[in-house]
Amino acid sequence: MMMIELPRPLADDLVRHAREAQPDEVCGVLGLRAERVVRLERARNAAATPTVRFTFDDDGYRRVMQLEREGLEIGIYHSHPASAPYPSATDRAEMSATWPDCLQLMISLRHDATTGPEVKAYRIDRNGVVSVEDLALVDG
Amino acid sequence: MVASVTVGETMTAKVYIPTPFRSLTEKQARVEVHSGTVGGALDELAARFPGLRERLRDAQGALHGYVNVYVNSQPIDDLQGEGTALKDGDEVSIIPAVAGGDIFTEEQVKRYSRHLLLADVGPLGQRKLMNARVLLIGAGGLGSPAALYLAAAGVGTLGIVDFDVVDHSNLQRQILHQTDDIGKLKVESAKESIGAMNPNVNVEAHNMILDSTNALELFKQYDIIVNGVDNFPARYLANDAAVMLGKTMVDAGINQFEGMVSVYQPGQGCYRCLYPAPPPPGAVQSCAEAGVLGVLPGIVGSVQALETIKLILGIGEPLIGKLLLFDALTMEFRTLRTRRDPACPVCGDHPTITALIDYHEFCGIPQPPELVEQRAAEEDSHVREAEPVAVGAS
Repeated sequence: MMMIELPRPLADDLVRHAREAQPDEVCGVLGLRAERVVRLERARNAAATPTVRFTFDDDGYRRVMQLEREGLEIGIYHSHPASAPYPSATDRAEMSATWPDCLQLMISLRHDATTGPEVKAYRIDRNGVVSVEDLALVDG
Repeated sequence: MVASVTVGETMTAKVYIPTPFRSLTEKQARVEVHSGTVGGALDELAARFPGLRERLRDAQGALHGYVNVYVNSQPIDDLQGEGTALKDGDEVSIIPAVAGGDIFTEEQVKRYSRHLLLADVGPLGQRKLMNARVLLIGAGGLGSPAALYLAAAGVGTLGIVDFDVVDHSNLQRQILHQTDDIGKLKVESAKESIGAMNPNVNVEAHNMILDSTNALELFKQYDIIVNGVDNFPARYLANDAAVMLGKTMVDAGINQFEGMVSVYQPGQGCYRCLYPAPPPPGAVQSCAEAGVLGVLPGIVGSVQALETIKLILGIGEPLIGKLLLFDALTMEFRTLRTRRDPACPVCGDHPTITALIDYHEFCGIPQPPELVEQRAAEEDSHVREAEPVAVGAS
């Protein structure tokens, strides 16, 4: 069974990034090699209403170009400060048009105060259909 | 020094193809182009790889808003757009936008911006409001301001139960209804007013007489019951049904210049704990008999909306175990402590009323003749196990 591996130090970076920016959403780019996340780089959330939207700025896109040049598979992460770690209608509409089938890592802080952050992995195809990817935390 | 300007076939730039487009470029990550401008290079690609054009441009030929193009890492928007000249060895990168977001639409972000700014509401609280289902009993004096403020706040689903039609005498206080609505079903008029104020709200109109046969089935579908009835049989019916289903009820009553509000939470007392028995018939005059200052239900119904929102958000101290009394003439608000009565026949330790009863009989009131007529017209005698109760304008 295919499983996306997320090394703990990168998972920690992800959680830290999401928490620091609360109540804003955060976003960033992932570099994957052989189903393993090997890079996690922050992008500035340039959305006009960052509590409910995210969009990369030019530096974020340069990071995408850089990781692609290094031969890595591109993934994208973003946070939902208050809602479930599941792609919203907006996410599905955007990603199906722009980055279909790309790995999406989502972090939710909705229960951070009690049970902690939740991280899930998905891919969204051209038709907006979401498939869940198995995600495993591994020692980095 | 001689500047060399290369054009046409002698010039070679590279276009970097992003992962999502590579299925169209025979898996190639870099494609060489010979056009002198960015726009030309994109068209050259589109001509070579079927399907790519649609991914780059809209039907009018403009670049999609979600396609970002860079020349040597500079966004073309900062250069000369698609007219940006290409030199030998330049690298053009196509990067689709990375964007998404929460469930709010841009319209909702603007509409609820003052809520989103509040630490105690914010996106999480606004989502709770949007997911909430509130039932308003009565689209009258209390139900009007309550419904409008709950709708404005973005409560996702508002159920409204009322059997009445809008009457001229309602307009002095029932702000859900306009002069043009006279003769219209109150629930329909309410639905139109709410839709005009906030089309995000789903209004469920229940044009029916609330009675012992349908109250439980109706209440079951909602999280919170906002009571705006105008008579004692309906008040006891709503109370008992809410207790039996474990629903929180935001209750209110008004008379001439005075109002009261309380929140009955399961396990913490109910209307019957305060008033075990109704007053003798005729002892308390209704608004229709005694009159009511029009703005009074505006204030009291707004307090009900406020309490409902606090309950949905889980903030502050709702009027649970408390009775708020408002005197419009002295402009005094007083709060009395109340307690659950362990001997209460519905919510006490050993309840004796465990199913809905005949509330007209309980209140010693004959069934109003107009209800008898309406019921007869409905011809559903098979469900007439219990007597109907009027739920109209307060």
